[in-house]
Amino acid sequence: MGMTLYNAPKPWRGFPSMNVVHGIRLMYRVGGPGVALPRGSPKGKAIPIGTIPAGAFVRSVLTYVKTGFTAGFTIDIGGNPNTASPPVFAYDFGTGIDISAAATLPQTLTFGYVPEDVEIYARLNGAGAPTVGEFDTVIQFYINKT
Amino acid sequence: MGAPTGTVTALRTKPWRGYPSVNAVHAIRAHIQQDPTKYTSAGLIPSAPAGAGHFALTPGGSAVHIGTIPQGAIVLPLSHHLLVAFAPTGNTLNVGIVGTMGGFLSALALTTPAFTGSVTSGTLMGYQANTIEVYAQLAGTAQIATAGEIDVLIPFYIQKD
Repeated sequence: MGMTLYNAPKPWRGFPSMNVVHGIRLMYRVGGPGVALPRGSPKGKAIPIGTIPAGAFVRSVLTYVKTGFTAGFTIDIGGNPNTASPPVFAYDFGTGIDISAAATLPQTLTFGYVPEDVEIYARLNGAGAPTVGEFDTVIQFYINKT
Repeated sequence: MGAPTGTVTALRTKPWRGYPSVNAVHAIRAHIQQDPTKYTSAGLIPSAPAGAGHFALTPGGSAVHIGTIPQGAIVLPLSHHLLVAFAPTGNTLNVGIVGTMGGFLSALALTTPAFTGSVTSGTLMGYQANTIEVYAQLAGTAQIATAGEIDVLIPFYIQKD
């Protein structure tokens, strides 16, 4: 319990009969709890953080930086990466998001509907090991219903 | 006894389906799809096929019931995503209640595909003193649209003790 497996797939976990907004949350704390994002430069390794089922409507993607990282650190969040190196996301939830200062970052979402299952990944980009930094990202979505 | 699993009944009423004890944002959603051939079923696992639950609207025709919001709820900023422009042009979308059909979205243009979040312009936004039934309606006099796709999400938080 509580252990983060780097590349463990994270299937959608929800309640189809419920008229609620589901969500996926990514919590990262340098030296603390949350998802372990391995840093890399220019791009870190993409780690799965959850799945949005086919037909869902993505309502918002919000990132809150509680403690700024070393200057130059960014994160990418996206879905369904390809096989390029580094991978390119078919669904871009935010690329090069600046996490160097505490802030509630503006939303960059450009789509709502997703016609296929979308596996969400996050990666931490930057040179050198960060010594401080805390951020959270919440992706809200409403699933397809009949 | 409701419809068999997987059967879409076009103009059924949709009561509020929520969990009062859950501290969650509830919502209702409408996916309007004028082209029923666009999506084909890929099966029910792990989720419903992408085209399930979509429905078409008739210009100037009947409003379609898309959900119910319980008394005391507060309606939060809504979002919509126009995936495919409606053709022929000339129609707009209303989302609201009987008597105030544009209460949440009024005469929304359906010409330029885009995602729009945090829409608060509707006169019905915010607190709901009564239970309301929400409808979607295609307004205008253009021919029946054979192309067009838009997704609308109306989130709300119910009243709690």
